[in-house]
Order: sequence, then structure tokens, then C-alpha cells
Amino acid sequence: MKKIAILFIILGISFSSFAQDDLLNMMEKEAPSKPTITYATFKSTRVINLQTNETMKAKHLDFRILHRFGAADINSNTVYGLYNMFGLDAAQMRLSFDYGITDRIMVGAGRSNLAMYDLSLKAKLFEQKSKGKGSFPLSIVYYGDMGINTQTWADPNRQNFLTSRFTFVNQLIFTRKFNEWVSFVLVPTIVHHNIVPQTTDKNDIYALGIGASIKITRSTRFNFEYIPRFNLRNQAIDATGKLAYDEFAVGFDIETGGHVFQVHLTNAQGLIEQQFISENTNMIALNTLRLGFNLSRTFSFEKSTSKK
Amino acid sequence: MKKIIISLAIAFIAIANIANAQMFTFSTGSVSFFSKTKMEDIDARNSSPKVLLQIKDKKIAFIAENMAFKFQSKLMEEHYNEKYVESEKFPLATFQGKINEDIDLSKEGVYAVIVTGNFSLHGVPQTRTIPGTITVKNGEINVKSVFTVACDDHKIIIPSLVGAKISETVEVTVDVNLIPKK
Repeated sequence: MKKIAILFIILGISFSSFAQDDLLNMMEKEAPSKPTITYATFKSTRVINLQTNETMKAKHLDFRILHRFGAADINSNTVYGLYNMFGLDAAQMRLSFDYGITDRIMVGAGRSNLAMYDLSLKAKLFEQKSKGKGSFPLSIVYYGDMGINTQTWADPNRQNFLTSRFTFVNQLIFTRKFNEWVSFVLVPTIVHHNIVPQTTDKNDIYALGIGASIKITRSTRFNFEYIPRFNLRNQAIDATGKLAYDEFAVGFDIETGGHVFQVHLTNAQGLIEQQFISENTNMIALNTLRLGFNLSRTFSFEKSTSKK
Repeated sequence: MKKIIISLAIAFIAIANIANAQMFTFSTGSVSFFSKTKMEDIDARNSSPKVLLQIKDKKIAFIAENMAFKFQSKLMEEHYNEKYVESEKFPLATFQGKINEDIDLSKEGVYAVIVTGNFSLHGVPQTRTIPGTITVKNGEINVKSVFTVACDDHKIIIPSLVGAKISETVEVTVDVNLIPKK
């Protein structure tokens, strides 16, 4: 008899669930929403100099113009920095194009001072996914870049090889968007120079990029990054005995529709990893910090959704 | 005793099936919206909304996942989700309403209807009265409707910086084909 009662209760419940009024609840119960890929971990493909997990989506092109002023040189002899307009006279520049082949693979090409061309590949291996079944706590992205130094040979009389022009960067980018406001990035990095100035120099430099982005308003963010190196510390990187220092930068993202402006202060003058991670000769100090601008403009080559 | 249980069980399942047969659910179509300004046209389409139409009570409900709206520009798509509808906090746009007219949707025909119900977007519900057309043919039902949504009504704030590119009111178009729910 008990069994019958239980059966009736079960049937009653299942029946009432069919007949219930709230259609919205019914739909949600039948097919709960799937976990979604976390978006906008960072506003741009770079925190400042350091790469982020972000790539261009399929058929989208990112045109970037990056500027770094020279050192501001703020002292009374230079009219407190106005003589060279806080470093404008010694500006460095980079132009680059990055294109999304798929939503997860991006290729890029660029040119930076001095006579440095580079080709890059960025691939999303794992993507952070929101709560629920099938969620994933972080994004893991590979970034590779090959630099081609096209300066004239330092010593044209020596036998020079094409491969001596090449430098390489390999990075694994780990990011996590903790909430709407805060994102973090960790980037284990290997920079390889095929040729180095002195026999005592290292060809491989190991570093760990650390970066964060904090949302201030809907369209502005505060960014921070620091890239400590594990080797090449307190070691001259050229014949003049210049030391290399860790890269550091703080800045803001300002987003206006299709553009992202990034304004920052950094101790690095180089604009690609081969330069700002392994060849940065400016220590972190007030008089070596320089102004920088990154300008990003996105173009879509996707067909309109209204045309079926 | 067993026989009674079995026959009762069958009876219950049969009743449940009858209740089910009065439900229609989404098969094809889309929910889309359109924003037009002098500077920029924005359109987005969601081809996987959830829809339920209850014939007997003339009730209809829609669920559109914000993340499922596809834009021409993926940057716009990200901005839509991140800045405007805040999909992480409010993943769904929903509507649930009742058809005002005294019509029998189990009979074939074309019905002009007014639906009164609750439209919720960006976590802000609004009571809306929305006109539409329901076509019943060959055991399938087509639902069409065009209505406007004012961003302000749902606390979606458009920054003045992009005010020239995004319209204060967007036009929503619903065109879905429904089939009997199994």
C-alpha cells in the first residue's frame, strides 16, 4: 500500500510539473543555460607591453600604433622637461597588424624601432568558462614571436649569417578574470637571441610576466605589469657595460567604441618582448620612466548579420 | 492490485501527454534587434531562443540568452555583453505574457494578437503590451512581432561618448516557428 502511495506522489509531482503555470521556470529547468566563455578579461591584446589572453576574433583586424617617448629628463637645465617635451624627441614607435584567423588563432606582423620586423602567432589553448558543469577556471594561451633585425651588420667584414638576425619569444599566458572588476595574468617567458654581443652573454633569458587590470568605470581600466627575469641579472648586455633591468609599467585603458587608447608610464623603451624583456637598460626610477601610448583600432570583415 | 497501479499510471501519463500536446516549442527562426543612427547601424541576431506557447491558456514565453546574440562586429558583441546588458550578471532577456484576444489556437488561421506580459532585460522587468501575428498552419505555429525597447526603461545607460552611434530605442523583431512539444 505504501508503494502505491509513493507511486501516486511521484506521478503527482511529475504531472504537476507539466501543468505548472510558469513557462519560464519550465524552460529553464528543461534546458539549463550552458557555461559561457568569459569575455573581456582584458581590454586589449596587451596589458601594456605584456601580452594578454585576448586575441582578435575571426575576420577581425587590429591595427596598433605604439609610442614610447624618451626619458622625460626633468631637471632645471631642460626647463623641467619642456626642452624635449618630456621625451618626445626620442620617441620609439611600432606599427602592427593582428588578424584573427579563427576566434582562437591570431597572426600578426609589425615593425618597431630599430629596423626590427616581427611575425607572431597567438593561440588560445584553453578558455575560462563561467560557473556550472563544463566550467574552467582560467585561460591558457600560447604566444610566439620571431623578430628579424634588419639593421646593417655591426661588422660587415665578418662572415654574417641570416640566422643571426633572428630572435624568438615563447610565452604561455595564464589569465583569470576573478570578477567583473579584476583580472590577473602570469606569463612564463623564454626569449632567445640567436646571436649575442659577447661570448659571456646568455642566448636564452627566462622571465615571468606579472600583470593585472582593474576596472574603474565601464570604459576605463587601471593596468599594472612587472616582468622579473630569472637570469641575466646584474650582467652587462653589451660592450659598454650597460646592465639590463626588469620591465615595469602602469597605465590606463580608455575605450571609445572601436578604439582602445592606452596611456602609461614605463621604464622600457623597447616595444617587443625581445627588446623590453631582455634588452631594457633603464632601471626603474623616476627619471627613467617615460610616457607611452598604445592605440588600437579594430576593423571587422564579417558580413552583416541582417543579410541572411 | 498491480493492474490498478498500472492502469492508474497509464492514465496519469495520458493526462500528462494531453497537457503536453497543448505546448508548442521553438524549432526555427530568430529574435533580432536593430539600432539605427546617422553614424552606425547595429544589428544582432539570436537564432536559438527558447519559446513555449501554451494553447489552452494562450500563454507565451521567450528566453533569449544575451551571449547568443551575434553581431557583425565581435567588438560590439563584447561591448553589448560587458557594458550594456551585463551578461555575467543578467544572462537572460525574458518575456512571459498572455494573449488578450479570445481565439482558439488549435484551429488553423492567421490571428492578429495583443500580448500583455512581463519583459525583463538587464534585470529590470517592465510590463509591456506587444502586438503580434500568430499563424497556425499544418500543425505548426509561426509567431511574428516587432516592438521597440527603450534602453532607459531597462537602466541600460549609453555613454555620451558613443551616443551618436547607439540609438536610445532599439527595434526588436521576433519571427519564430513553433512545433508541438514532444
